[in-house]
Amino acid sequence: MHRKPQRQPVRILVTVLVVLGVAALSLLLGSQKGLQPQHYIQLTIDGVRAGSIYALMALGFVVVYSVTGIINFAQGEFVMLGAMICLTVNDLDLPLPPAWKMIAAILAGVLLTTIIGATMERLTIRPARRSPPVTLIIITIGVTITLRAAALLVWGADPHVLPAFTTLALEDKIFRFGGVIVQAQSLWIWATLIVTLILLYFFLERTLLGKALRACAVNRRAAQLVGINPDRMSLLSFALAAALGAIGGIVLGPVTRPIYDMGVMLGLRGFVAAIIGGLVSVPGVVVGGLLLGVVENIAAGVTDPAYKSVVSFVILIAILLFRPQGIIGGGEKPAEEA
Amino acid sequence: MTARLDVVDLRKDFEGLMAVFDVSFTVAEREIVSLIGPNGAGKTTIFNMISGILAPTGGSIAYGGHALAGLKPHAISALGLARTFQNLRLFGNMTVLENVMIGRHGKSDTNVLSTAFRLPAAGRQERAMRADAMRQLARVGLADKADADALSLPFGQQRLLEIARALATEPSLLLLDEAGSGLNRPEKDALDRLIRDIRGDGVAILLVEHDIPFVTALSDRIVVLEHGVKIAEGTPAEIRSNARVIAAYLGEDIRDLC
Amino acid sequence: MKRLRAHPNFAGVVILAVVLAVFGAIDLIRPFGLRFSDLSGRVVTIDTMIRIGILTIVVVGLNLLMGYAGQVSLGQAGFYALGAYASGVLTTLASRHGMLSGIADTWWWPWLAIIIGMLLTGLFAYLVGKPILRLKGNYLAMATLGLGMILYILAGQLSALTGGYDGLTGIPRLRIGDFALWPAQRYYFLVWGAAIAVIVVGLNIVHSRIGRALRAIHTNETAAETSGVDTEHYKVLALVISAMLASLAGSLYAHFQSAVSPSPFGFKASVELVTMAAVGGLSSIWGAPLGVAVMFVISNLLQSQLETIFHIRGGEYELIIYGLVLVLIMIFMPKGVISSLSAGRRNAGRDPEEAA
Repeated sequence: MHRKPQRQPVRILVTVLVVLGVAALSLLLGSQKGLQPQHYIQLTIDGVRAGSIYALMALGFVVVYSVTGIINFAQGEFVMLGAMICLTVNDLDLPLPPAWKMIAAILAGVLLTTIIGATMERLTIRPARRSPPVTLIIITIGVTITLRAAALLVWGADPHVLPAFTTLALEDKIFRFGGVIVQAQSLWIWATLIVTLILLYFFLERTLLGKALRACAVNRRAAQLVGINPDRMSLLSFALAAALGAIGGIVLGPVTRPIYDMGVMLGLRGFVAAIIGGLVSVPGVVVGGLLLGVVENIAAGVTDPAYKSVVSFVILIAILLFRPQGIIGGGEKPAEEA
Repeated sequence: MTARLDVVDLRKDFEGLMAVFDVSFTVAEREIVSLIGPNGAGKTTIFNMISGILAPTGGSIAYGGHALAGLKPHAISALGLARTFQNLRLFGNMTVLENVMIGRHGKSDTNVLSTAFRLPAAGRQERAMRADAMRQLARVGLADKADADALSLPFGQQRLLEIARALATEPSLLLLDEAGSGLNRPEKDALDRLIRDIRGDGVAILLVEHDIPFVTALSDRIVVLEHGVKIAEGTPAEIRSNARVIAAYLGEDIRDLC
Repeated sequence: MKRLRAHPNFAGVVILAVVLAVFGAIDLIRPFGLRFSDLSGRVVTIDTMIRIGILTIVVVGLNLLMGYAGQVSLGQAGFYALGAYASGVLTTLASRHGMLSGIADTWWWPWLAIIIGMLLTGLFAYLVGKPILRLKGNYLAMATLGLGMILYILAGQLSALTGGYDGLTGIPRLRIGDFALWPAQRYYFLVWGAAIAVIVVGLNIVHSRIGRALRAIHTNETAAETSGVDTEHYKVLALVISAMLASLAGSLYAHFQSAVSPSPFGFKASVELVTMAAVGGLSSIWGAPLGVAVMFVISNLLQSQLETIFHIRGGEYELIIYGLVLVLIMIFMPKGVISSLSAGRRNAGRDPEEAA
């Protein structure tokens, strides 16, 4: 549609001003609460940790969206399932030393969640793949409701416990730098993110299957013409997204006690991160996730933790309004060529 | 102010791809002007800029003295420009008649309250819109198909439907984007007659076309584009003998040019 | 939504009105000691009917917005909340803040509050709609979701105004002069009177130039624009109308519960609204009451039958089945229950009668 062309320098200037303004406001509010520099650093570190999880979740959204065009509301539930299954297996009486049991639990969590994701695609998405966006949104929401209710049934409403990876116990190892605290689990989270990104890179860039997936994401019809089966790719994307979600949930588990409805807010955060990154770009959503985590945490730190969610939604709306494509993606129909 | 279309030094740059470069031409009242050129010449891009769907990167477009830059398509429609689409954009969830009635939309001004509460004024305007739309359908020969689903019509008739919808807006300039493509010989002859008919009613017509004999028979003037640049302009006779035009079309069947 | 008749099917409206009136009368008069709920096998009570009526009002607006104008809204509960809180705050001004004591106690003040609520919500929707409606599809869905969530969170946080997460209580019942529109048997008539009026308005709009413009925008926005339809204006109009209807419903809800709190207005509520709209049939005004009724019946049936037949307690099973039913309906009846109904009639050799 018709839009007035905006000039680049003006937008950059406005962005810089907004960022500076927000930063100044944060410092002002923070000083009122008596925050010291180390508090800000702490908030930032915690923010980067949360942001890494959001990034992992966002990757799940990106994979599904770029291949199928669907926004998968159930992505948050994959995170929850990964964590829950992992801790359940870990609680079993298996004849294994604790470290091996944990590894088995992690594998079980990822594997089973992946299967659930694939099943979801096969049973609910595939029959409806030609439906309009609204229908698909409602379907994924229906699946979310079912999964969450099932989780409530199986695991109850109380929070559970997943031991920290380093100590294999409730108490995690803590590193102190100056006045700043870094939990060992945070290192696990960051390491997981990096390793996941590397593995994802190799998969998408260096393997035939991964390239097929990307081809489908770029141009579904053309991919079909060269023999790629879009239905298989759809299945693969959901399975991959489920795996990514599960990994995120498992590695987050020791930090926030897993509970049947942890997927709700995480899912929404992951989505905001995905939007910031443009819904189709991997580096974009990683940056988006990290940014969101940091901004959210600092905002909550200088005001009130209850406003954490408000921050994500305000960011969401702001991004959608001002840079939906900035963030790549694209809501505009291309003009016809002649 | 005469209802004349003035396109001056029009440019469209798609992030480095210069689709249209300094194209200028005019369409006077009651003229039939054709834009021709090989694929990728930028013809539909120009149409999109004139009708307000795409913003030009440079140059100006004015109609009847009004600058069209920055206006939304419905405002441009209100100024008297109507268009059809190369890929047919009918409203598939409506009947043939309803499609044309959309064209009458801008001519009526019932507001929400009078429709919500079924005030008489709304009913009156609705009946008038219906009658006007039927007239346009009769004009293109589709009156008997008024209650059919728009997409149930054969292709050639769907093209006529789009034209009827465009005519319903009472334009003084009609832009036809490849209205003839996909039509067989008798349909094209009928289209030729229809276009002349429309011109007879005082409407100027700007055509984008690929069928050269169709165009040379019909047009007062022809503008030739290649790769976004205007390479020739003149009467059909002039264009037919223009060396550059022939060269541009060398990839096409030369017999088409004779 | 292929063919709309020239005039809306008012016969259908009259029939519905009569049926509802009879049901309502039964509960008022109690012939032979019967209650409405007995008639329906205890599945539906007057309470349920009132809720269905209130939500029908919201969903008609949602159908206009989503089914006709084609704009997704996952935040409609936000507008619903605005209406409920407007009524709640304005009618408790006297008792809570000691403001406007003379006026806020009169019988006509709550009615005025409802109108004020609708106007404020409409204004809000207008201001918000202009920028947000430039987005399409999934992006619009997300923006509306975010909007709804922000309203929900603010409702809980701005305690001084809204009573925080505990909400407001003591909202007066509606009355006309000295005639109280309470207990529920009387309120039922008010709610359904409003719902029927809204259905009529909806049908009128759909069968008009405006409804046609909305359908055109839904199918092909560019072609609608070039044909002279100011698409931005109409999309915003659809949003404003749907917001005002939601606000009206919210106010009726507030006076029904005599209390408001944030919890019924979260994301879940918005999803339920969209679900009801989709299940009933997005592109049909009649789909609104149908969709709401179907979802309520399913929900109530699940609650009662699971206990009786399977001796299972607990909302989890109910939710699981609810989710599954949702998915199944969307897969097998994507155009909603109403299109399946008219498909049935078509097979019987009659005219396809979609949005009546």
